[in-house]
Amino acid sequence: MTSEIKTSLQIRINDRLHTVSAPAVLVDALALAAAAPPFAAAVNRVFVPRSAYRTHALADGDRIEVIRPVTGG
Amino acid sequence: MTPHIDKDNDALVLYGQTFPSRMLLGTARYPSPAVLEAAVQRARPAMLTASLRRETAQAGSVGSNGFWDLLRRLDVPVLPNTAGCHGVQEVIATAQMARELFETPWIKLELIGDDYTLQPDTLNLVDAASRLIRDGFLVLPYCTEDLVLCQRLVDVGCQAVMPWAAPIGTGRGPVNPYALQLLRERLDVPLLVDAGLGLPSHACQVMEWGFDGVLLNTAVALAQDPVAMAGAFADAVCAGRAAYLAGAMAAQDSARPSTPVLGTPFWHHADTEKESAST
Repeated sequence: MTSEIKTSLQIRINDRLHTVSAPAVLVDALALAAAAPPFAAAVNRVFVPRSAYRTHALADGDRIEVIRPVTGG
Repeated sequence: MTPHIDKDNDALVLYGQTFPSRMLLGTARYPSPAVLEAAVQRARPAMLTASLRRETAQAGSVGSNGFWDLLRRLDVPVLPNTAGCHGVQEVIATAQMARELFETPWIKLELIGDDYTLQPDTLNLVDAASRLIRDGFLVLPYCTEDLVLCQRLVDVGCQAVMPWAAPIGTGRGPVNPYALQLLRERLDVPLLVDAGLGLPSHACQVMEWGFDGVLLNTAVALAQDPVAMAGAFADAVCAGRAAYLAGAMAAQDSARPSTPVLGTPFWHHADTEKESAST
């Protein structure tokens, strides 16, 4: 049995489906979303600090949240 | 006119940090950024609440970047919230994102258990608070007025709790005065009433009961003149605090004249007039 090597990953950024070339890290997804400061990010409901954007490897099916400051009560 | 309070000796202290005001103000639902800014300048609140949303889902009337710039310009401590979170893991991730983004350990913990009333999820709130505190957050939990819940929040390390007066955005004022007053009587930590206040008199009322502060948003933002209403609430908070410190009289069941009775002119003349009329 051979394991399939994926050449692309299907990910969701703020619920929108995107395709990125594999391997990919979080900063690739953020570029795809044209994220500009100020923002913060989480992958699969787990916070990813800014310092880890270039090292956090993405997997097929990852759900990425990119959030910005807004008014609130 | 704002009542005189010696603010040097009566500051709000949360987690060891001193605040010059006992009013916390939300930033949502204002007619414009300019009105929000003017309201903040008028009230000079201790903290301003803010939130996090996806870029594609602007929740407020103020644009994200504009709001960010406004927050920096106002120079009031920011209290990020976890509004809209329905699970503990969502709360944790949102709080951590807020901490990085706003560069603050403060977090207004909101964990919603019911979308209709926006009632906090009281069964999981303590766990969420405990995890946030262990992670170094200064947690201000939005909760119900339930005494045992509030006590448990204190037990896990919350140095202040924020019971609601009524569901968020209703403006109904304190719907359970008995429980709120009992809470004040039983807990020694700072208590801030959060949500449900609609009028300055509501804020004044809870401050008279000995609450340490209030957090409000909609009552100011949706007023016909939000700037004036921000000032009215600020004054009411000061008035209520001053009244609490002054010590209110005990309510009586029977009337007692406030003007001295001794020496009342025409004393017993009424009887004479009646006698004269009958003859």
